Amino acid sequence: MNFALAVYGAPYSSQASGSALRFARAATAAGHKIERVFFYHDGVTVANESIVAPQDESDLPTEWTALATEHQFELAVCIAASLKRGVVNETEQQRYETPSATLKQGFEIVGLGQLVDAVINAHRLVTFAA
Amino acid sequence: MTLHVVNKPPSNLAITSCLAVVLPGDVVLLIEHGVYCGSVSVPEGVSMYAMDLDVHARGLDDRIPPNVPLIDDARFVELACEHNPIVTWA
Amino acid sequence: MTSKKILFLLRSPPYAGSQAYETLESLLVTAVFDQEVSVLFADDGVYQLLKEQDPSGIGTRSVGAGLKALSTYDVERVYASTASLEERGVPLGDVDLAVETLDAEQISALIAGQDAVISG
Repeated sequence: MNFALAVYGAPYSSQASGSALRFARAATAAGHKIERVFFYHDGVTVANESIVAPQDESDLPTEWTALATEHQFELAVCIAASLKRGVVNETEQQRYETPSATLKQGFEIVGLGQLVDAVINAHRLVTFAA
Repeated sequence: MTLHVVNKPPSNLAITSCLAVVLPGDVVLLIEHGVYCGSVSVPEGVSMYAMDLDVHARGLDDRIPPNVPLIDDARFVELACEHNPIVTWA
Repeated sequence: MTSKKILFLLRSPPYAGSQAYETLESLLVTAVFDQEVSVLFADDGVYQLLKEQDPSGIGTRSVGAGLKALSTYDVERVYASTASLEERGVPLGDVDLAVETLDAEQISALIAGQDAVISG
């Protein structure tokens, strides 16, 4: 089975990101494919490289990038949602002259079309909302 | 058959709105705060499950009735394979 | 390109931040991709349909105005829950969009027929 996952909730403010990560881990462990994980609304904030997770909690940004690298799937962060929440890559940082780029390596800034693309190509869409 | 995923407690409309439209053969999966809905009755022909880790986290192990089995992430994935669409009630 | 049946299930009222407008944007993009898009306003989501929304004072874009684009993007399967409208005292006369009202049984059938449901 090929899964598209949508994550709408911010890490540490809701369980959305954590629940989605556990689902993705279980799906890949069972031999399924992840078409893409699409972060939208507040979910984009997991891609902020300045997140410092407490030692006794999950380091969600790092756990996502590790799983995505191991199983070769994309962590897609919606550009419209990310700009307004301060998650910018170098291109956008230069375009809008913000103080610094903040996108964590391993996440990609993409357009909304990539959500639709994932839904079209996957067998299943699972949404993790705030 | 549809998999309905509910992540809000009974004080929220999510479970009520979900159960108003479930069909026999559908599955309702309680995750996150949805596990507080363990005692809500479901229509005939509808199965309900609760995520084990979310139940344990909240100390609800003794408060989920026996007709609501606890499942793990692997079983969640299986349910998602066995059902479509997957509707999140948040 | 594969055309999938994709339902947007909109249950949140507008203007608690950007969520409602962002969901609308994702809906319109999905329509551009030639997918068979349906929209169902249910629970507090029916408040997105009210006429005369004016969020200019709170510094955000109008969801009501944005919904007018649905017909431009050929999104014609636009539904609202009869029960949700009634419970909130929203008669169709207060609704600014051409919607078909659905009862619970019709909503069940709508959901069951989808390839994917995007919640918003």
